[in-house]
Order: sequence, then structure tokens, then C-alpha cells
Amino acid sequence: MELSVPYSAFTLDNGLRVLVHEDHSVPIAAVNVWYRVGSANELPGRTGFAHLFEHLMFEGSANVPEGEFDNLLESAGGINNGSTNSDRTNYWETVPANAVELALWLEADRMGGLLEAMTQEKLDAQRSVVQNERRQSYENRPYGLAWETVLAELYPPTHPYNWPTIGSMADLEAASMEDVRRFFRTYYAPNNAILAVAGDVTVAQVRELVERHFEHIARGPAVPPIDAPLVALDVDRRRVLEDEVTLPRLYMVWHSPAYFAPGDAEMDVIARVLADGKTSRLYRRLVYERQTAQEVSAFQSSGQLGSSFWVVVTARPGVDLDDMELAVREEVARLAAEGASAREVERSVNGIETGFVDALQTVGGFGGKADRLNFYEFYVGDPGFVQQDLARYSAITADDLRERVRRHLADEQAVVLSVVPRGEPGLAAGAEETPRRAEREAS
Amino acid sequence: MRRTHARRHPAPAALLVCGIVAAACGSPPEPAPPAPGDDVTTTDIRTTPPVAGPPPELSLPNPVRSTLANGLEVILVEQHELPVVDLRLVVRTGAAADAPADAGRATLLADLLDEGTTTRTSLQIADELEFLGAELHTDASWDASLVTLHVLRPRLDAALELMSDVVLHATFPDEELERKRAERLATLIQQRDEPRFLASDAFNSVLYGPEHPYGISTLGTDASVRALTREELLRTYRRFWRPGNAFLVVAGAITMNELLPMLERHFAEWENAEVGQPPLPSSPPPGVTAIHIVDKPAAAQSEIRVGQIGVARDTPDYFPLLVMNTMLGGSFTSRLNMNLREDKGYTYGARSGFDQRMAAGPFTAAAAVHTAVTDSAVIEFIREMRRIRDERVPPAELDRAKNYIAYGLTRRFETTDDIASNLADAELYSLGTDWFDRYVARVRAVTAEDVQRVANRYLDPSQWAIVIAGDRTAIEPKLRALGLGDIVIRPAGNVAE
Repeated sequence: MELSVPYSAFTLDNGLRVLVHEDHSVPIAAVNVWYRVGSANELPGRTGFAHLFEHLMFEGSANVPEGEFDNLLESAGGINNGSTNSDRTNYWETVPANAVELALWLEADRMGGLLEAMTQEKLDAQRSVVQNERRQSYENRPYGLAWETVLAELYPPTHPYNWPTIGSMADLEAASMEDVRRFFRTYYAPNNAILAVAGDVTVAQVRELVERHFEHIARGPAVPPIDAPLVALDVDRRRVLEDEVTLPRLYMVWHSPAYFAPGDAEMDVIARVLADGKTSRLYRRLVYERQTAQEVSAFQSSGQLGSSFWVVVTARPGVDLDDMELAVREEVARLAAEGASAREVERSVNGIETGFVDALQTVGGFGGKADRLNFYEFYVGDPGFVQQDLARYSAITADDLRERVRRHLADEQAVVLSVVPRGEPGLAAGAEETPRRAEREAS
Repeated sequence: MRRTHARRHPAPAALLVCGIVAAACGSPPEPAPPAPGDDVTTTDIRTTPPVAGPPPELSLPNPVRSTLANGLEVILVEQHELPVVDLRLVVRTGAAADAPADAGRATLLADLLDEGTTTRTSLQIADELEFLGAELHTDASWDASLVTLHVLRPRLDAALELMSDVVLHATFPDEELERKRAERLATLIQQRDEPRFLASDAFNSVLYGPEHPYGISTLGTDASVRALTREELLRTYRRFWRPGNAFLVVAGAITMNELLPMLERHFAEWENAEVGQPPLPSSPPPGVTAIHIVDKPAAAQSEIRVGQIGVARDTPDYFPLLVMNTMLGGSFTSRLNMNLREDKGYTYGARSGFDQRMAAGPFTAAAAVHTAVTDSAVIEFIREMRRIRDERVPPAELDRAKNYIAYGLTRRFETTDDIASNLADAELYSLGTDWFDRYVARVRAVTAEDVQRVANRYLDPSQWAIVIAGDRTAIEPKLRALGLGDIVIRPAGNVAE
């Protein structure tokens, strides 16, 4: 299948990279900015800062009074959002095409003039909002602390993927105005950003508007590179969390190839073969046939500095997670030994292909065409990579999968986290009385 | 999948009144032209927000209709941009037709459609669909049951064969029913671990009581799910799943000439029959205002729900309510979000919405707030809900809300799935073929007086129920001190009082 998002690209003198895609099917324009900064750039003691900073970007800038960023966009019929992960921070506005200049002006004003309008009060207010986000999405949610628990076991404290993007309560509390100023000056410069505009616009129109609003913003200093040590697990690392849950849940997580590195696409397909859909191996065995699990999922969490491969099994009430771990290990071993069938591979790739086409239906928002141009520019330096990206999947053979399962899963150590109902540590995988634990302690 | 943190609070779909039915229409009035370029200096360009030109003409879907020989209505919107097709088969009977003792029937029935047919097992259906890279979903809402199919155009015919098989020939095998029943019971247990479900379930139960379907989740209760039989599911399926009680919306890369023969071939055997819709439930009388607490010891936050029984989808006040709620809690800049999130920092997000169904669904204002400020947050909810009744809204705020709704319309018709789901809602609720054409004008016509009138009519302080799932020990004394009504401690889950 032929897929493409035709684009034009240019770079301003201050280093801002600009990508434009025309799509006149619906009178909408999408503006999307990626900054090359994420939680991996944070300093120890300031975890969660990149995301807290993202919140501050909506609180007004040199010529935009507090609250007006949203007021102006809503008045124009636009929506906006932003997000932060370990590698990057993105911001977008989707507006009726007549308001594209407004969206660009708002982005330019905060890229050039955020600090002129920053106050301690804004920092304190958004700190409070983010702390409530942490409470809502993690602390007050079943299994909510699993993510950060796994990361802390998977990566050493010297690796920037050791902590979650949301950060810790204490570090959020410690964030200061000096941190805000330093972070902005280090990372929020045009030479550290990519701007994509997609939709009912023309290349000439976008070039003129971008030059008008962004050209005066000064280039920033070179951005310091991230220092990340090589990582590997020498033993299975087991952890148990007791939580306010009724259904025990097992997480098994391995290191895997970085975003777009050889093997990354294979891991996506392996995830599907293991746990996507009723006929996937783990779903069929645990949820459909034995009915000892309520749900299973598997996914490759890809990142610039390395990825992790997750298998998550939620057991039925009272089920011992040892049984779940055994099943996962057996299915992984079987895939490593026998490989997947041609039909399993084709089934997975067909589903992925549908997803690629779907992603081209929207110009704006998370995952829309503007976001996708920036995504490819950021990770592979080629905004038009979509066809080659799909080709990564189409080319996969059953042998490739078997080899990747063996290299990254079957022959490797994992983080094994059990989240069990409070007072029932015996349900955890490898709980005290089992031989597995004794072996580990002896090694 | 990489864990990211978005700035917005993702509002649950059930609370979004403006997302339920979206449509587009004629072009809105043009604002004043932009200031002439020759007296704009460089400094002005940087310091003054650019004035938008005239809004673009809306490009609206242009549906065409047809009817199959068996009476199934077909609505098609052609969209040839990409080789995909979305289909949405809507059966005009949903969970509201489940008696409280049978609660969960419509959703369990939908769950079982693709778990076995006269010629295919559950695993065969799944394997064939996945091989086609197609997505088939079955579900039931309060007002309808649906089967959706999303597939690339070259694989449509093969996928339609599977879609029609599950719609026409489902067999509800005993072992699959028992598996799905056990899964559903575990889902109900899982939901009781989640404060947000505890709060919403208790809130609906307080408003509607145990005798009304809306007082119970569409998923049912432990007792009702245990009691449902294969015979009852089959009876329901044979009665309501009929072409005359259904319609099919299609959006994507296909013409009616290509579509109709395919549909006739796959759906020809589907026999029509008189259905006899059960009557709509009537709302119970409002109770006495009280604060209901669902205890969640040591919870980091309190999940707050404030509201009352709202209005049905056919309300003549649809547009004034849409504008009023957009200002109260239906947009990022709404009063509840600005107050509780941006000003006070109590929460990651506060919102409100009228869940409009065939009969009057709930009006809910909601937020998850830090435990220590629970009582203060309740005060702010009440303050904002009273203020929009007591004071006329200022013109700038009203204009912003109207623009946000009117100009935002185009966006809701971007994907084939958006188009199919919006047209399906318009058809289900009999909104009329000119609904989309008149939408913007009707938003524009809403005045500050209208907003105040509907706020007073539909937000009645004497009917407000307050439900909080949180740490009782930490929050009860201060809530009692508010003097808003009795404190009632409720058990978790959908249980009769």
C-alpha cells in the first residue's frame, strides 16, 4: 500500500525547522511544535520538571495575558493541548483555517517571550495542578504506581529513564523560578524545536507567517547532550507492591531495541502475536481457555535512548501470579524455539497497516499528520518516513521474529513486578516459599 | 506506546454533551475584516493577536439514503480521501430496555454476538477479522445496540461477510456465555477498586434509585449478571435485532452503487418482524439534598459528583443548554475548570455535562480533588452552579462559548468514524435532515437571557445530589460542617438502598 504525507521543509536563520503539509479536504489547520526536551533531560532532584514546565507554557507570555492563550483559541473555535514524555515535549493547536496565524502567533510569543510573563504565582498554581494530576492518574488509581516501580528497577539511577515523566511529589515541590528560567533558556530555543503546519494552508502562506512571527526569536546556545549509560539486567529483578486492588496483576518487562533501531518493529509485532486479540497466544491461553486471567496486554514502549517490552497480565481474583509468570515464560520460550506462523505474522502486519492508514485521516492533535511529520523528523530526521516506516513491518519474516524473541526476551532477564491485594503477598510471582526466589538469593 | 502526560484533563465521553451529536451547516456570519496591513508596525505584529479572516465555508457531509429489500435503512457518506470504510449498524434498542432485574442484558448480548455463529466459532471470527486487519466492535448504550466495522476498502466485502454473520447468525453458545459472565463479574469487581467508578455509580443510584435502569450501570449488577440466561438473551436478540428496528450508516471510499449489491447479498436473509419497543422509563421524583459518601480509606483524592436529573435528547432547549454548559464546565476555559483548577489548584480538571438520552439522563458536575480540600471544592461547585443562575453571563464570555461550538463544528467531521458516529446519532434521535444545516445559526441565536433561563430551569439547588468517593475519616467532619444536608454513608457498588 502506498502512503505518503507530501511536505515542504525550510529552516529559519535562527535554526527553527519548519514542515508544511497541504491538505485541503477540510477547512482546518493544524499547528504542531516539538521541542527536543523531555524528562530524560531532567536533573536529579527535579524529576517531573519537563512536564511541569509544559503546563507553564499555557499560562501566558510577553504579549499574552494569563488565561488569554485559551480564551483566544476558543474564541476562534480552536482546541489545543500539549504532552511530555521522556524524549520530547509537544504542543498543538487545531483551528479553523482562517485562524492559523493566531495559532502561530501564540506559539511564537511563548517561544520568544515566556519568561517575561512568568511569576511565582503561576509556578505555584501549576505545581498544584500537576500534583493533583499525579494523585489522580497514579496514586489514586489501581496499579497506578506500577509504571514508576518498573522503571526504577529497569534503569539505574544514573540513566534518565529511571524516573517517570510525572516526577515525584518532593521534586515537584522543590521546583523553583530559577529552574524555570534555566530550563527555558537551555531548551526552549528555535534551534531546539520543529514546527509543523498541516491542513488547509499553502506553503507560501505558512512561510510568510512563520517568517513574520518567528524570525526575530534569538537562537539559543547548543543544547547539552544526554549522557545515558548502557543498560542490561544481570538477574531477574523481582518486586511486589501491595495495592488497593482485588485482581492481582503481573508485569514482566525487558530491555529492547531503541525507536527505529533494528528489531524495534519486530517487537511491535511480537507484542501482537503474544497479546493482541482473542487468537493471540497469551490471550487465548489465559483469558479464553484457562480463564485464569481477566486481561493481558503486551507492548513495545519505544524510546530514543532504548525501549522496553512489557507483558501485563491481570489475573482473576485469588489467582497466584506464579501461574501467570509461568505461562508468559512458556509462550516466550515457544516463540523463541518454534517461531510464529506465517498467518500470525500476516495478521499482525495487516492490523498495523490499517492503523497507518487511519493515522492519515486527521491533520491535527496527537498522532495527526502534523504531529507525524514532527515525529519522523525527530526520531529519524526524515519527515516523509511514513512509507519506509510501514515497510519496516511489511518486511518482517517469521524468522526475524523468532530471532528477536530469543535475543531480547527468552535469553534475557526481566523486571518482574507483582501488584497484589493488600495483605496477600503470597499471590505474588516468586513469593517467598517458591524455589525461584531461593535461587535468586543464592546467585 | 510511550507514557506521556497531556496537559488537559481527559473528560469521560459520557459527560460531553457537545460531543454527542455534532454536525455542520451553513457558513456563520463573518466577523469584521482584519485591520489594513499598511498601518501595522512590526511591534504591533508581535504584541497584538492577529485578527482572523472570515471563517471558512464548512464542507459538510452529504448523506444519501437507500433501503434494502428487508427494510434496513442505509445512510451513506462518500469520503474518498483514503481507502477506508466505516460502518455503523445501529439497533434502536439498548440498555434502557433492560428491566432492573435483567440489568446488563443488552451489553452482555452485544458482547456475545461475535462469540459464535451457526458456521463460525468465537476464535474463527476473531482470526478472520484480524487477518483482514479489520476492527469489529459490538456494544450497547442506553438507547441503542451497535456493531461497528472499520476496514480498508479492498477488504470490505470479506469483512462484511463476518459483520453480517454476527448480526444475523449469533448462537450464544453456553460455554461462551459462562466465560463472558465470569469476565463481566470480574469487571464489576475491578470497577469497585476505582474511586471514579464508585462515585459515578453511587451518583446515578442516588438520582434514579434501584427501580430505574439509569440508576444501574449498563453493565448490570452482580446479581443481575448472575441471573441472565441464554434463553433471555436469545429472546431479546430475536425480538429486537430486526432490520426494521435498525439502520446502517456507512462513511468512506465507496459509492451507493457499489455498496448496495454488497449489502443485499450479505443482509438478505435478515428477516423483518414487528418489534414493539418497551416504554421509556419515567424519572423518579427528586430526593432531599444530601451528601453521600462512599468510603475509600486513605484515598489521595476525593471523586466529587454534583448534579441532578437533567433532560432528554429531544429537549427544545438543546442549544441554550449546550452554550450554558460550555460556559459552566464544558470547555477548558469554563467556570468550573478555571475556578477549581487554574485559580484554586484543587484538581487536574473540573467539568460538567448533560448526558442526554431518550429519557432524561443525569446532569453531572465532576472533579477529582485533593482530599484536604474536599469541602472547599464542594463549596466552589455550588457557587458556580448558583452564579450562572443568578447572574447574567457577560457578552465576551458568551461569544467565546458560541464561537467555540460553532467554529469547532468542522473538526468533528474529519474522519470516516467521526462522520458515521455523528450521522448515526442524528438518525437515532430523529434530529431531522436539516439539523446540520441549522446548527450554527441556532448556536448563534442563543442569548444571555436564554442561558440564564435554562440555568434556572435545569439547575435547581433543591434537587442537587452530592456524592463523594473518598477517605471518610478525613472528609466527613468538614462536609458535615457545610450544613448542606444530611451525610449518608453508602456502600460501594450498585446495591439497592
